[in-house]
Amino acid sequence: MEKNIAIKVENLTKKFRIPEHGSPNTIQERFVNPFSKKKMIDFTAVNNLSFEVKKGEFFSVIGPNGAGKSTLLKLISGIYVPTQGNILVDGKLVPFLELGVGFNPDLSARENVYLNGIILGLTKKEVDEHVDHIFDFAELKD
Amino acid sequence: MNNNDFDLYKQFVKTTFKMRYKGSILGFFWVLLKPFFMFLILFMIFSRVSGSATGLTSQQYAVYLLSGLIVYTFFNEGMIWGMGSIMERAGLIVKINFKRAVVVASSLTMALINFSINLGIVISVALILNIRITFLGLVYILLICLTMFLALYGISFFTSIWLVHVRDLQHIMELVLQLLFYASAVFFPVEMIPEKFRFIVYYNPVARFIKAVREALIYGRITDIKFVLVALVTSIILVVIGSGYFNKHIKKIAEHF
Repeated sequence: MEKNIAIKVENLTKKFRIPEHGSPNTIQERFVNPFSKKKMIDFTAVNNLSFEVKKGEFFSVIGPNGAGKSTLLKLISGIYVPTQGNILVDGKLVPFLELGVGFNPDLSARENVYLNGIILGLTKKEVDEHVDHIFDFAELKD
Repeated sequence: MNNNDFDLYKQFVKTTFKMRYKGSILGFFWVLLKPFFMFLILFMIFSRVSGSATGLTSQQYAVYLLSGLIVYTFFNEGMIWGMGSIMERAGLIVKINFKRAVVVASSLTMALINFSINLGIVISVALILNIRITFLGLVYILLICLTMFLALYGISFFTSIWLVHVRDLQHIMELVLQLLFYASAVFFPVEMIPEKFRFIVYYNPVARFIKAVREALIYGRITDIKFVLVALVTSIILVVIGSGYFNKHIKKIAEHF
């Protein structure tokens, strides 16, 4: 990969196999409608997409509901596996797909910082080093 | 396993442990109270019948029952928690890419922690009741415990994936484990089963583990070692095959929640 490129996406395609609308999915539904067959269809969420993000560059993806933005991000962060194509990432990747993932309301603020930091790929030692800074930033100093 | 994976594992164990008993007044004590009351119920009902049939004194029967109960509980919790581990963390798995096997390991560790605590209690009870525990017997119990842990780990690699696809497994598993409780001679001696049905116990690994633990704990005898060693090797193979299966299928799991 060229030196100044952080993310490279080549001919990326993602298809999901989903049951056709109204086709019976559980045994109960099949029992009620014994003659309708279970049909699966391919749904293409991302279709032959290619782009590059250079280092230091801000890059945004804009589109209406259901355009495949989240699917793309999940593909880049490795949560989904591409149907076709390649994704190359150079550097540390910290996915932030939604606010408050892994946040546990029953834990203390400090415990949540550790839990989330470690889930996102830091070691405990790294969180140790930054925890005070995080509390300063959040203005949560007692 | 890199540093982060191990930290993640510890973090998951810690939070699961905190969450499991949060909000209840007695909290962590339920780890101890649940098996104790289970024991008390079974002891009150069956000590006469089962005790006299085996020729055990009621003290010996108490240890007999307790040891069977904790081994069964270990297996039961391991199966349920191991199977549910991926499902339980669905919210995280669809948003963040971390090493999934950590989730399975941390759930099984919960079962192991409970078992260790329970084992400590059974040993204390045995000592109070003047049952002499030998060092060799204790080592043998730990070997059996290791074998069971590996078996649970191997099985969970499969069941945790299957549960995501077929949610019915949850209910099926509960029923199977209920059946296993009665087929493992936990609260009655094997001798009480009619001769022609004893093969059920013979072919039931949990029953044989329980029997071996009892012999080791109460009499300090090392029994059925051939079976335990075969089970140990089988479990190791199961872990290897299971982890292959798990790694192959876990990649696509996020699409199926």
